[in-house]
Amino acid sequence: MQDAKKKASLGILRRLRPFVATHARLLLVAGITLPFLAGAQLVAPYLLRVAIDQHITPAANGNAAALDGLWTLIGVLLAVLVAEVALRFMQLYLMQIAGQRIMHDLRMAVFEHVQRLSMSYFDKHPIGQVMTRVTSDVETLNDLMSQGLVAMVRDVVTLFGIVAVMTWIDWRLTVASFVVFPFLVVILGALRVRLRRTYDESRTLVARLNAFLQESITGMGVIQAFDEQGRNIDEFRGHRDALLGIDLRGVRLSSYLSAAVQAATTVATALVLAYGGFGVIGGTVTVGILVQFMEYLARFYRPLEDLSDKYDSLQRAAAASNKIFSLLDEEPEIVAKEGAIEAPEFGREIRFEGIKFAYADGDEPVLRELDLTVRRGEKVAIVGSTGAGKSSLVKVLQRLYVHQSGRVTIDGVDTREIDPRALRRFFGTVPQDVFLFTDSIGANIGLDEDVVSREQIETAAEIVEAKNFIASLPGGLDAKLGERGAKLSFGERQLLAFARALASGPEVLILDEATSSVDSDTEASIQRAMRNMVADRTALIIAHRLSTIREVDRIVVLHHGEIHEEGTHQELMAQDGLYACLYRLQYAEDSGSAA
Amino acid sequence: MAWVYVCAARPSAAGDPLTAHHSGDPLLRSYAYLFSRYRWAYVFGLIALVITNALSMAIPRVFGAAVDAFTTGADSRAVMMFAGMIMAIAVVQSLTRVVSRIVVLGASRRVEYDLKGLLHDKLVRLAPSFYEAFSTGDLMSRMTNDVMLVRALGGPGILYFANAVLVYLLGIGFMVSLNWQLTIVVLAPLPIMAWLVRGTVHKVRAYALSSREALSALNTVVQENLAGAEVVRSFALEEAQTRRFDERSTEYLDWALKESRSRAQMIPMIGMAGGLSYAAVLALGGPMAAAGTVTVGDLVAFVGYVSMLIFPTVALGWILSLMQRGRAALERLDRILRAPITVASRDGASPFQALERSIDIADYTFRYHDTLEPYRHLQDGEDAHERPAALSGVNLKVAAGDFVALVGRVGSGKSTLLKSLLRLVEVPDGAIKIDDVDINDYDVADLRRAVAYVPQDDFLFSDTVAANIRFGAPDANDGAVAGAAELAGIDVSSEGLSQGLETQVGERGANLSGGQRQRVALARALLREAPILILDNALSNVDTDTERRILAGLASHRTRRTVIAASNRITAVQEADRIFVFDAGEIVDAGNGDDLASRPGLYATMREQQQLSARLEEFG
Repeated sequence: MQDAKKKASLGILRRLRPFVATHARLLLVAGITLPFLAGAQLVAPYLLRVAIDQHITPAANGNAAALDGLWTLIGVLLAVLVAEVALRFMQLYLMQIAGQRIMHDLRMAVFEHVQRLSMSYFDKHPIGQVMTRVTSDVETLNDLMSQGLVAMVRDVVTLFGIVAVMTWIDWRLTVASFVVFPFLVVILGALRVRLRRTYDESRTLVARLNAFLQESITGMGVIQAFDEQGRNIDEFRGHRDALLGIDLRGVRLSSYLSAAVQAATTVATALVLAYGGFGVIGGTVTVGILVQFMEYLARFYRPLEDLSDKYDSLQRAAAASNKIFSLLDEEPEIVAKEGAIEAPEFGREIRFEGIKFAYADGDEPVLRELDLTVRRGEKVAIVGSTGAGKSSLVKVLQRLYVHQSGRVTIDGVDTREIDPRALRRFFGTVPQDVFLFTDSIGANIGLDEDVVSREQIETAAEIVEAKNFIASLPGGLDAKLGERGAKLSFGERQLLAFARALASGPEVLILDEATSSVDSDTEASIQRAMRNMVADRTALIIAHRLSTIREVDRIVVLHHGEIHEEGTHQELMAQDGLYACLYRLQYAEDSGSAA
Repeated sequence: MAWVYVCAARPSAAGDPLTAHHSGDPLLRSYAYLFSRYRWAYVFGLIALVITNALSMAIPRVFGAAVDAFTTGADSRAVMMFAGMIMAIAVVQSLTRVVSRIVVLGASRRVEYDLKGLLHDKLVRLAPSFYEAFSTGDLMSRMTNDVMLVRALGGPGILYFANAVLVYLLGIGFMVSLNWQLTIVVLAPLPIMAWLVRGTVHKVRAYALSSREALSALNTVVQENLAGAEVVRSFALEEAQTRRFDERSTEYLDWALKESRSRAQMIPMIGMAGGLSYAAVLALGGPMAAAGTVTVGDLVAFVGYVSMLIFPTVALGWILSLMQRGRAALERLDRILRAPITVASRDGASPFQALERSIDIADYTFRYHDTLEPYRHLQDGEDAHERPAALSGVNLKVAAGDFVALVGRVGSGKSTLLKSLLRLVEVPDGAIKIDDVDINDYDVADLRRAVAYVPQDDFLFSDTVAANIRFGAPDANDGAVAGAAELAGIDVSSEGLSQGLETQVGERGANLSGGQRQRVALARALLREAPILILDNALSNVDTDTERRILAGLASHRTRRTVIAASNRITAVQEADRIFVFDAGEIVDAGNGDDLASRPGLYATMREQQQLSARLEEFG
């Protein structure tokens, strides 16, 4: 049961294989150094033995000439040492390069995949969560990639090397060295299972404690308003008590593990000394061999000690991979079809035919059986109360969301036949909230330097009359914006958004007017910019301002996802229906200043 | 210089290594009590550690003596004696090792336990303004990562540091007792290594800083890409964004590789020093053995000591960084612990049971910016830009038993005023008097117990509906809970609550609709049976009919209870005894509903607009 669970969770690491395979050559080169490194580890004690047996011991017994060869030996030892240092550096560095590149590739894969996901995904998943996938979860794997795995392979290679060399020198002494090993394996096995359970339990409790803490911090206002701080403290203590109990058990278990390894090393040393001692007396074993074995023992047993830490880092890596791959497994909802149209023709009209749309299956539809035609060159205002479906209409038009039935066509071609990215480039969009990137003004207008040239950026800025304010900034178009463009005024941000929508020279403009009220100077400049912008273009405007409504060719009144009325301002006012009511509600206030 | 640092450590440090080493560090001194509370555990653990290490150090000595004995003709009894000695060492040593680890590491877990409790106690007492100044994410990261680093300082940090010091002291002691000339030669490579490592450590630190900066630039790209997901899609910027991400990720990769190259240089350097020590033992020891000044056994023992010194030397860099990071973490935690508690009961605060006469608010001006001032020095970030006053020169009177309403647009100051009555914001002295006593002179807990409050943000805890209703009155029986639920308009049978009142509401009440959440929050307040009821736009997500029904129910229940309600919806409050109209932090009009409706002004405009909206609903 326990093993099946572990297998399932650690098995996820297998999915990292394609990422690792890309850097196989680097890893291979790093791998080649491993046996040499293990060899170097084995050689030093051997040289020590030769020094003692063939040079120092005879010299101590009066044969001064025996010392001559010692200098050569020390030379070899130093050479081995230098080689080891070089190899070890190479191995560590290569592994780091491979590990970091794998991380980079994985990050890119996750980021690219996120780019393919549609808006509905972001509606369901908070930004913070997706962000964690791209950044910290990938980073968690780094430990495993660049340290854990290598260390494990190196330890295993060294262990086998030690056993092989020891057996080759004296198999009986080897048996003496490893008599305790089976006992240690049993003890470690038993402890490991319990440690693993303790770690898992601790992780769960930590998660629970953190969730409680997070909730307490966010709800602190309520807690204080109800004077329930005392109970909150008690509950938090309960969480801490539970965690402390488990953690102390973990400390105990890992202490036993550490002591068991040390005891095994020491007992093995005693056994080597006992068996070897008889050998020395009997002349079958030399002092040098004893020293050599003692050195090997320390190298053999030490890596076993941090076994539990390694298991823990493996578990964490598995948990992170699990989250990363479940994101990568998310199927993008909107993708280009095979042979999709790259450059849609637009000579006549855009039509919505019986469009039905809900944000999620089973939700109340926000657009129901909507029909609408926008002719080329026409400027259409869409009005309606909150929740009437205005924003949804333009989102469906850009295929940011998938509609459930009906179709949208451009000159008779279903938008689903068009590459979604080409379709979106066909429109120039001004969203209600202007989103600016931490970059220069120019980059915020052009957005994609492969698509929009510097000249186009300047032309666009000129059309919306943003040139003056841009020129006034230090660096002009190259002026940097702070995070989210915090340094610009509302009106300036609006002009930037207009220029941005125009820069790539789109066929059709989609404008979602901002609702915030501004001073009359700003208002005037925004209106002027808008007039310049929509001249000679097809435009679909979600209108919130009276002045805008007055300039369009046609007004479409949306209500509960359907078109309720249509016509010019005068026609609709004469009907005295929904539009007239809406007009009095929304525009009555600014009618005074605009009239 | 790492090496000198270790050598300078005196055994007296063992009792409280942390303070002994940084006795000049006020931060560590002021939090030393967290550790010194467990001083006996540390003392006991360190004694066990001394024994463990002394025994470890004795092994090469025994081994060396055994070798000499064997080569000079010993019998099997001597062999068994030496082996038996090492066996005995193994037994005692594993016991002392277990003790030292359990005691010291256990103490560090307790330090973590205490520290979390200490921080939480503080968090619970800090005023809501503190949570404006510090984000939840920031606080969570302090409470988890930083606490963990402090724990590492108090556990492995102390343990391994003491271990390294002991191994060095004992090792040098044993070696000198064998031969001091050889000792000096063997140890000579170590300071050179420490010096080399130090240079690399500086490089590593500089690169680590750059790579962390690159990482944060990378995070900004991701953050913006996600926050601007719609812009990215509607302008087809997926590829441009990927390129941008690639650039940043590559930059991060470059720095990270530089960092790891320096790191990779460090470990072989340390190995090199160990190897040089071996060579030194042989080069100098060989001739000495030939001259008879040392025995072969002595040399064997030296070899054993050298290999014992390597590990602590390797670990030293790691230990030092552990200590540095622990100290930095403690500093971040210190900012929470040092934050002033801006709302608290004064000494000799008056008790408060019920509103007897009136609440009087006189010339009350409130700026959120000012309340953030006490925390400014605790933060590294730049100043938040100043916002206009939330309330300016507000005058208002609420008589006991009245139903008073505050109306006005979003952001006009209504919520701030209501929060002031519970002292959830820092009220200046003299602004608000309750029964002629300054609100700041009352006991805060008393005041809050006398008020049932339904906040605008209908925060629910991830628990059952019933548990949420019972939140402010844990001892209420099921009947009372059901009664409060009914009064708040929660109709268990028709609400789609699968388990009735025992339904889990999910994180922040995600399983409930906005209207349901608000009604649960209302029921939670009603169950308190408090003399003052404060409703902050409490039913904005409930449809008009239900709202009317709930309010009617409340009105019939309202015996001697004072109700103060803020609402964006005029219809909800038009029957109030007195209505105050708020605009941009000021009261622009006051009167009863009929008076206000009859004269032009904000109230009349809002009322008209809402009637139009209601008409709009009826279309279609």
